[in-house]
Amino acid sequence: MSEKRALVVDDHGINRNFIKSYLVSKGFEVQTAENGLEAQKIAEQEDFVLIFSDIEMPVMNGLEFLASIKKNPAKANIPVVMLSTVDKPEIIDRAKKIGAAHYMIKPFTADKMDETLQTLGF
Amino acid sequence: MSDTDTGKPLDMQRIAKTVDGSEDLFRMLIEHLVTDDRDAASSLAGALEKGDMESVRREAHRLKSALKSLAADKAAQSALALEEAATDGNTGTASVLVDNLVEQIDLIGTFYQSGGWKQDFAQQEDTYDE
Repeated sequence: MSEKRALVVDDHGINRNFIKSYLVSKGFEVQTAENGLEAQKIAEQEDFVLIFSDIEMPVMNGLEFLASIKKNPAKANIPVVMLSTVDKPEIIDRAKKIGAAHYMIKPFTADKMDETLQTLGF
Repeated sequence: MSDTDTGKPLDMQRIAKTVDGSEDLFRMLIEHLVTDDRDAASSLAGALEKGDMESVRREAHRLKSALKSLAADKAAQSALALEEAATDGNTGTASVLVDNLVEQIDLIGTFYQSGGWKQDFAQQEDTYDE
């Protein structure tokens, strides 16, 4: 089993598949979830070295999911990359205050993903 | 000049780079769009009839995000306009924009079915090789 396990959380299949394909090409084993609540349940049961999460999602949004990860001492050190189509400074600040390791504005590109992984030391 | 300037519904140069030249990934993403997302977009007319503007806004936002990922700029602009109309509670405008969004997705489907994109991928591979 790969030692690099990542969790990708997005309510759209196209975005999940794009990030998953990219990470698999970089040697990650990838689990996916469609909303924050589903991701929270998966994260409680499995170990990950990296999480990518959209912000606006139904059921539980990405900021709520991020907060739940950071409140869990066993999971708090996992870097979480927040994804959004919105580049409003107040939302970026809020995500960083909660503990986001990085904030990526959609659309995705391989270059942005490369830069993100490099920034986080992967 | 981007492909959207040439009348193509996708910026092929950008999407080919985004998927790192993988035709398989491109096919998977586009097929998701022209099946599941096309259905989701056309079902928004029902949500509008019920006056469920929050569902329309949320779905428009979700589609906008995916369309941006696919470098479908014109369709993403339609989804953004729909999201804004739903936020403003403008049912009449939203109804027109739902039709427009479905039409944009259909154009992408027609372009995909035509196979015209394969040439763009081949050219992109040549660029990678240089």
